[in-house]
Amino acid sequence: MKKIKTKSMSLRKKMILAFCLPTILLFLVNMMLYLGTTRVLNSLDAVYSSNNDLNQLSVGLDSLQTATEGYLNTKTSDALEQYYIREEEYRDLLIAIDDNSDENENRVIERNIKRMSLNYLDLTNQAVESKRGGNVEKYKSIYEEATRTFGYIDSSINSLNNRQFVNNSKSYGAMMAALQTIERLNIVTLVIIGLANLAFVVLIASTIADPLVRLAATANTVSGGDFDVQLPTVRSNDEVGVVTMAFNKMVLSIKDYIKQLTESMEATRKLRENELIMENHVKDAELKYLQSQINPHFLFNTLNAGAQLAMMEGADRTSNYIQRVADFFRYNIKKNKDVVTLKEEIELVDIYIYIINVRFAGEIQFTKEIDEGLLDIKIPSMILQPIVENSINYGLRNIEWTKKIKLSVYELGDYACVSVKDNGTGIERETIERILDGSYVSTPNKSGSNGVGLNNCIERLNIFYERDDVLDIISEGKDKGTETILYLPK
Amino acid sequence: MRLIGGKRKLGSNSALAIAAGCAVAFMFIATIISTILYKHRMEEAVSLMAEAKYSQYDSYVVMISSDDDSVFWQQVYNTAKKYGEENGVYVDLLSETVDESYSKTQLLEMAIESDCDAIFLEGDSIDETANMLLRAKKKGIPVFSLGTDVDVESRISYIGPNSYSIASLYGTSLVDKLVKQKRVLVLGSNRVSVEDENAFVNNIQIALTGAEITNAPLEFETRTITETGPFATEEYVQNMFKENDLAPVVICLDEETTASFYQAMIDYNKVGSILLFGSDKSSTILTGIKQGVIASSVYVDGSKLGEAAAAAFVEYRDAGYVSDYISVDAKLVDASNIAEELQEVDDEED
Repeated sequence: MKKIKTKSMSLRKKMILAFCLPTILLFLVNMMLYLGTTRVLNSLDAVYSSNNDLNQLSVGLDSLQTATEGYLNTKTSDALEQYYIREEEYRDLLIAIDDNSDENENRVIERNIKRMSLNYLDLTNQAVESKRGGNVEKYKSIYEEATRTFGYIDSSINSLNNRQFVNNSKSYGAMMAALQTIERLNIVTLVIIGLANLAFVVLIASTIADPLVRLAATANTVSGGDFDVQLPTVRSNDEVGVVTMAFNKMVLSIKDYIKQLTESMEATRKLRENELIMENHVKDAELKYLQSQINPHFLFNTLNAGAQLAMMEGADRTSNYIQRVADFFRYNIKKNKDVVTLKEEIELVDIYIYIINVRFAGEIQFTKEIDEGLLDIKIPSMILQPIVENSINYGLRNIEWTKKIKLSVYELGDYACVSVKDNGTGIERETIERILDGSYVSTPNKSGSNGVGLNNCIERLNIFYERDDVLDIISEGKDKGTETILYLPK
Repeated sequence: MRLIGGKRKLGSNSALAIAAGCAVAFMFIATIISTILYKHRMEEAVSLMAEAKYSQYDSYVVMISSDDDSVFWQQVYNTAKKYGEENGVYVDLLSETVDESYSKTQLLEMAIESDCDAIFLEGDSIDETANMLLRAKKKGIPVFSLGTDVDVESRISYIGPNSYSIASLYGTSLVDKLVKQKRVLVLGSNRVSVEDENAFVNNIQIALTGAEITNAPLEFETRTITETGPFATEEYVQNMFKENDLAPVVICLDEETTASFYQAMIDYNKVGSILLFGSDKSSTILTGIKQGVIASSVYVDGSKLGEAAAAAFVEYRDAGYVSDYISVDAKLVDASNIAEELQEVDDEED
């Protein structure tokens, strides 16, 4: 319960406690020491009080003797009044003297003083009365006796005074020694309490300041951008505890916010990517739409009719040619799906080369070097034919030397490589880079083209394989030919 | 690392709180210990001022002698005091309690004015003493005479040796030691009255009657040192030796005269030529007997006298009467029993 109370204590209360407790303790100790010392000092005052009493008694006795003598000498009423006053005073002083039965020399002297004093008072009274009565003989003898008694009393008072002075001096010495001890004790106690107080205040101040220091250090780290810092533990419910709790909440909120922001940006990026894919699909759709402008069945049926006519007329080569053109278009009709095998793509290239060689009188030397084990690899349709068409249109068309195209399929590590290499005019380095990054704009519907450009091929390959290094174009310079290589995953 | 650091910080924080608690506890403990020590020392100091609790007495008796400082009267006083304490009597040697030096008469008057319950008095035949005893009697204060008697009417009881028995002891010793001496000087200080001396001579003569003495009858001369004041006895004895005013046999009737005469005999080389008989028993006198300078000494046992006096008062107080004469035996010390007496003195001193 106490621990909980201390934990929930406010900072102000803690500080008040830290300063008030030592102050109150010091005050109490000081008060105790002060009161004790005052008590000893009061006792010191009382040490010699018995001597004072005896001195007063002695003075009173002297005064009474003088007054008695004065009256007996003068017999005036003033002297008589003086006598009565002194007698009364002395009787009052005698009250303090104890008529005791204590077995102690000093007490016995005190007793004797009392008894002798009472007898002395009787004697002085008798002397005064005798004087008033005019009995000269009697008052003289009584006065002499009284004077002797006065001497005995005075002597006894002096003796007792001396004895008490010796005793009182011993007491005084002992009390002074006690006082000195107490003084030393006071100093030692105050020093100990003072040091302990100092330690207490320092420790309490450290206890209060420590959570603040830790909070400040953590805040400093967080301000440097490190949100993964170990958050300070809240151990008390005071103001520092409240601030620490709020700080911890704030840091956690900021962390959550940053996480949400990152996720949102990622989502936006994906959205953009999908938009691009959609754009490509639209383009693809546009292409297919264009393709669908020609009625492929009509063209196919027409070409078949032409082939039969040529056969009937005995023109076998023409018939074969028309048949191949028909096959070319049939591929387009049949393979209008997206994915085909590498073998089907190579067959289309064969048909295309035949048609082109018919058109250009067999001037293109087409060679193949195929790894048969790789022919079943799936690739997007209409990829190889546009590449070969590109080589013929841009690489070989205007050259003076023998036009050669070599198609190779081979294995390279994890990839199946499809290479289309010509010995044409070649492509400049800058142009290759532009083609590969998609910024090169070809002229669509160019004469002799089937309409599917290299850009389209590259984009489709990138989307299909989800990477941008599927196709590479290598040319060593002008008139040194061009090689286009596809890196297809097995 | 941070976590470990954090834990360490938290640990040190708790340690700080514990240490602060310890500091407060230490302060309280220091305060409590200090308070206890302080209170203890204070009580010690204040107790010095507190009035002591004394035993109570029933009767206050004043003792007055001619020489309160002498070994004999101190012995009497101490024994009487001790016996008195056991019986509710406080015996006060008045001359010791007042600083001023008073005469015997003055001390008597002081005792009377102090309304004491009784007076132990070494008697004498001085008139002032007799007057004071009359005043005491008027006031109803019983007087007990010790060692030397006073007027029978003035006192309740006499406690002391029989004067005849003392004289007999001297007589016996004289007969033993005398060779052919004839003259005997009886010397007393101013505290011994002429009457006492004469009574002593009478008694000794009676005691010697029939004894075998070469030069019988002996011639007795009595002298009393009448001078008063300090060193009077010593000066008187010295003068006797200077003037060769001596006798072959000297009997000193008190302690002071005996000691003075003994020392003078040594100083004036008279050892062997004077036969000295002393009184009382002090270490000086015993030494003199041991050395053979003093032939013998007659003394009354002070402790027995003191005890008898106190017992007499107690009996008088309790019963209302007491025997008017209580005898205390006198003793003779000579070469035959000096060893025992010295042993007794040694034992008493131990």
